[in-house]
Amino acid sequence: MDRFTIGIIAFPILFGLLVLRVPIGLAMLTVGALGTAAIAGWMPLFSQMKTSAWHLFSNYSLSVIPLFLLMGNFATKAGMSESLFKCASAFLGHRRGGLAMAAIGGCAGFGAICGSSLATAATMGKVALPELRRLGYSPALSTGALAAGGTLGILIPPSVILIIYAILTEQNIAKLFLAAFIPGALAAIGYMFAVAVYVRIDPEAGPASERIKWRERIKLLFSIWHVLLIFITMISGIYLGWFTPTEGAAIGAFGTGILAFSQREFNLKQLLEVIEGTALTSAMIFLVLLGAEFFNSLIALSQLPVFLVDLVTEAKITPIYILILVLLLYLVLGCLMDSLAMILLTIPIFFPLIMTLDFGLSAEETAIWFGILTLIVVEVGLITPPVGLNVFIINKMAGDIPISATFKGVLPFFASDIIRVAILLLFPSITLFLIRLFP
Amino acid sequence: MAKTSSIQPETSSRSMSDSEISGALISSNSSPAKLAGLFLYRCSTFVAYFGGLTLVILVAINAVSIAGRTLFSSPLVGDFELVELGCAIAISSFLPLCLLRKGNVTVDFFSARFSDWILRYLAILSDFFFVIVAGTFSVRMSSGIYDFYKYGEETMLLQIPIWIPFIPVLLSFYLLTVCAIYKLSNSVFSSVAD
Repeated sequence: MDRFTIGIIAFPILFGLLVLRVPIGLAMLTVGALGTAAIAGWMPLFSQMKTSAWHLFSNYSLSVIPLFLLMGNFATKAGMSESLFKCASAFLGHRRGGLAMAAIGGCAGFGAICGSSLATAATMGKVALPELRRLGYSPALSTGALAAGGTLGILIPPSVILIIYAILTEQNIAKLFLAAFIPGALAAIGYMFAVAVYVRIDPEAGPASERIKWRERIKLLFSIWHVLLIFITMISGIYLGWFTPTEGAAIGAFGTGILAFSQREFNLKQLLEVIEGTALTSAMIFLVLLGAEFFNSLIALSQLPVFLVDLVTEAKITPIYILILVLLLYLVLGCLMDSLAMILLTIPIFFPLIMTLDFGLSAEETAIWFGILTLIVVEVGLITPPVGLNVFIINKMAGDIPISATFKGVLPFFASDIIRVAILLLFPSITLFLIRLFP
Repeated sequence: MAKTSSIQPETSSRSMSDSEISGALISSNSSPAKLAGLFLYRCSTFVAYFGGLTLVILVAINAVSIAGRTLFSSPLVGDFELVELGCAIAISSFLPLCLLRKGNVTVDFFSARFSDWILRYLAILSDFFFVIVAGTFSVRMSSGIYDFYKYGEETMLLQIPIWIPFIPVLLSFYLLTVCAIYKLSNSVFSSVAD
C-alpha cells in the first residue's frame, strides 16, 4: 500500500472507532500511530513516543489553555454572573423580552472572562433562569435565550477554540482575539434582536418589567467594574505586547481568583472544585491534542492535503463556493462531533486548501477571516439538534420543560447565527476592521 | 444524551462523592476490587490536586514576573521555562482522574440507541486501546527520560536538567496505565457477570 492509500483509509477507520464510542483523542492517536508505522515503520514511531507527550505538554504556546480554563473556573465561583445579569436587566428589563436580552448581555459579559460555552451557559443559567421563570417568561424563550447566549462564551474572546486554531495554523493569537471582537458583539446584538422579533410575534412570551432609574443603573454599572478591568487588562495587554497570551491568561486567572477568594462562601471545597473542573477539561483537551499530533503527522506523511489542493485548483471552482462548502460541512459535522476535535481533525486538511484560494485578501487576513467563520459555524453545533450540548444543559437546569420546547426556543437564535455567518462571509472587512485599524 | 462528555467544566454535576464514584466504577461486589478502585481513585484525585496547585503557582510566577518587569524593570529570569515545566507536570497529572471520571470526549450520537449489552463490549474495546496506548507511552517515555539523563539535557536559561521535572510526568503516565488496566478489568468483569 502506498502512503496515499493509507492516508485515505485512515479516515473511515477513525470514524468507525468514533462510532464505536472510542474517545476521540484515543481514536486519533491509535489510527495516527498505526498509520505512521505503516508508512514509515515502527522505529520512528517508537522514538517519537519517547518525548512527544513531554514536548506537547511543555509547549509554551499551549500553556495558555489550562490557565484560561483556570480563569474561567474561578470566574464561575466569583459571583460575577449575578452582578452582570442585574446590571444588564437594569438597562434592558423595561422592554418586552428585556430580561431575555439581559440574559444574553450577561452571557456576553461573562464570555469576556471565560473561554468556554458550557460554563457560560451553566453559570448564567443558574442566575438568570429562575428570574426569567419567576417573571413569567415562556419556557421556550427563557431556555432558548440562555442556551444560545452560552455560545457567546466562545465567540467573544478569550476563546479556547480560537487559541487552538491559532496554534494549528501558526497565526497570531492576539490578532485573532481582536478580530473576534466585532463578530462577537454582532452575535450578542443579533441574539437580542432575535428576542425582539420573538416577542413581537408572541408578546406573551416575554413581559416587560419596571423601568429602573438612571441613578440605579449607573450604580449597577459600577458593580461590574472588575469584569471590565480584567477583560481590558488581559486583551489590551496581550494585543499591545505587554505580555504573552499565556501571561495574559495568568493575569486573568489571578484577577478572577482574587474575586473568587473575596467571596464569603468561597472555601477549600470550592477551590478543589475549581481545580477539578480545570483538571478534567485540561486533561480532555490535551488527550485530544496528543491524538491530533499523531493523526496529523499521518496526514502530513500521506500528502493528502497536497492532493486536495491540486484537485481543487484543477477543478477551477469559484473560491467562495469552496469556502461555503467547507462551512456547510462544518455545520453538519458540528451536529455530530465535539467542536475542538472537529477543528483538530479538519483544519490540517482544509486550511492549506483555503490558503491557496484567492479572496482578494492578504494571506494573514484570509487566515484570520477563515478562523472566525470556522469558530462561528462549529459553535452553532452547540445549539442544534440532535446533540446541542448547551440546549441540554439549560433544559436540565430548568427541569420541567420538554426538550422540544427548548429546541423551538433556540430557532430564532439559530436563524440569527446563519444570517451573521452570511454577512461576515459577504463582507470580510467587518471581521478585519479592527485588525486593519490597529495594524 | 449529548455528543460529548463536555469540553467545559460542569462542576456541579461532576463533583460526585467518593462513594458514588466507586459505586459507578465498581460493579462487582468483591471487596479487594472495590478497595483497589477506591485507592486508585483517591490517588488520581490527589495527583490532580497536586497538578492544580502547580497551576496556581504558575499564575503567581507570571504575576510576579509581569509586576517585576513593568513596575521595577527587573524581569524574572527563566519564567517561560518554569511555566513550560510546570504545565507539563500539571497536565499529565490530570490524565488519570480524567480517565476514571470518564471525562474524555466521545461521539455519543451513534451509540445513543445501542443496548447496554453492546455498550459494555464497546467499553471493553476503548479500555483495551487505552491500556495499550498508555502502556506503550509509559514504556517509551521510560526510555525517553533515560535519554534526557544520559545526554544531560537542560533548559536554556535556568539549566534545570530535564529529567528531573520529567519524573512526575512519567509517574503520572504509570498511574494512568494502572488506572487503565483497572478500568479494563472492571469492564471485562462486569460484562461477564451480566
